[in-house]
Amino acid sequence: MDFQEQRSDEDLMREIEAGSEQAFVQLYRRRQPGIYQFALRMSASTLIAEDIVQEVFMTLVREPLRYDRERGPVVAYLYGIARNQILRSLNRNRNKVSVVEGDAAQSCSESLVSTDDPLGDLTRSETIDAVRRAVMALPQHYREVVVLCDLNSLSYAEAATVLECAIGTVRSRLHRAHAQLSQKLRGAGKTASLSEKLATVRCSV
Amino acid sequence: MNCREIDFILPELARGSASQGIDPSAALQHLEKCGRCRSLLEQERSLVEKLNFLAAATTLAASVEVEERLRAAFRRSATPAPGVTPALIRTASVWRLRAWAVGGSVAAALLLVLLLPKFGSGAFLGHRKNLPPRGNDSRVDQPASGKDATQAAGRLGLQPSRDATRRGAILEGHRTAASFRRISHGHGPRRASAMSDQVTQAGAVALGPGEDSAAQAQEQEITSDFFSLNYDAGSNAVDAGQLIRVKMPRSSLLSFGLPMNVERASEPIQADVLVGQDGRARAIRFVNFRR
Repeated sequence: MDFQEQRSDEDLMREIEAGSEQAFVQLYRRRQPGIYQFALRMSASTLIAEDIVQEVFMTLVREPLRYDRERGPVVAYLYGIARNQILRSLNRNRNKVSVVEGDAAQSCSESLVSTDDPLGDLTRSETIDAVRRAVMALPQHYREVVVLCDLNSLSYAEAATVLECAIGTVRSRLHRAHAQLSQKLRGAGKTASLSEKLATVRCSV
Repeated sequence: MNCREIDFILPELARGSASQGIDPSAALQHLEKCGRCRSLLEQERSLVEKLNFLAAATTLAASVEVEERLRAAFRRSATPAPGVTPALIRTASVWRLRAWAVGGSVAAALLLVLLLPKFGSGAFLGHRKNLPPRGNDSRVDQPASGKDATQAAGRLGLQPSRDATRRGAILEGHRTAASFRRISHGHGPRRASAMSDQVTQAGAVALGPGEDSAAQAQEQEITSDFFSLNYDAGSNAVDAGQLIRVKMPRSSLLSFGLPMNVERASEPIQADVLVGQDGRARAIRFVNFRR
């Protein structure tokens, strides 16, 4: 049993403030996969995701005393920095990637999700791929709450800190996001079954 | 509790974890009576299960290089050198582009250095031979046996180290890279720490024709640590090779996370490039002079 593994994020932050590189590395290795996946699912770009991970932890390097314990846990602080970076990045690339609500957004975002991206390589199963596409096709404010709460297992309170909103807002956004996800997955299922039927007809002719 | 209230807590009910302010028993009572909400809860459980599949299937993380850069930045910020601002660190994508640019610059510089002696460089070498040797530096011992070697080092445009000169170990075109090491800040990342000090110098050091080594003899040479130019793991192990001094655009400093004096942006900076026996540039360090 490794004693160091038991140290909380807050303990590690205290040590980082005192200049401990070991604590910095430990916190980085504990939290960077989640932050990377959050950034990747929001941006659909591995390059941007890496940039964001780097920026989040560079903030710790540059301003180790910036973290305020009274405002929330360390994980929410780190995800909050990541979210700000993601929004900045999405705004920068707004002329390249148009984010439109509704059905147009769905088709637009789905067209962005290339089949040869790293996520696609890993999520082989049809169900997982369909869920991934449905999540990526959600509008940004719904997608981030799904990614944080459902995929990164943050609590509602932590997600509320990250998103700088009330817990009730997180709850209602998650409800609406799930409704959209269910709708998209039902649509995807219908499309799949239709294509299967067509394929069967073509084969039988 | 009514259907509308149930709708908003369906995700929590599906996960079996109600947050603060939610009364699970009241929700259960409603679900027993309401078929619509029971159906929605089943759908929600199915969706949560699929999302859990997706979460479990994803094990991606940032590359190792990001951690290396962050650790180096952390070390620099923890022990900043005098007069050096906290490290500039480039974003990963910019880093990759810069790495290509620097790689190209180094390759071009190396090509020039290798071709100069072959194409009409006699006059250039003669000019350099007429220059006073750098052994005149009062910091360097001048034992009789080491005088020629010191002059040879002067022709190479390098200052011999005190130990190396005392041993008379400097041979023209053949000396250890370790003996070239000068005062180092010690705040930079030791990217090429795996490199052996047994790397040999073949004397392919070239400075610009207008460079006056006598003037530089009055200056103290400061080098950064070595930075690896190879990004594939395990390529840093170098048993032998050449240390070649080149000039590069000063903006190259930024590519390695080092600060650059903007006022001197137009002036080139000197660098020592470590070339392996296979001819590939393995590492680089930057050289500065302090009067």
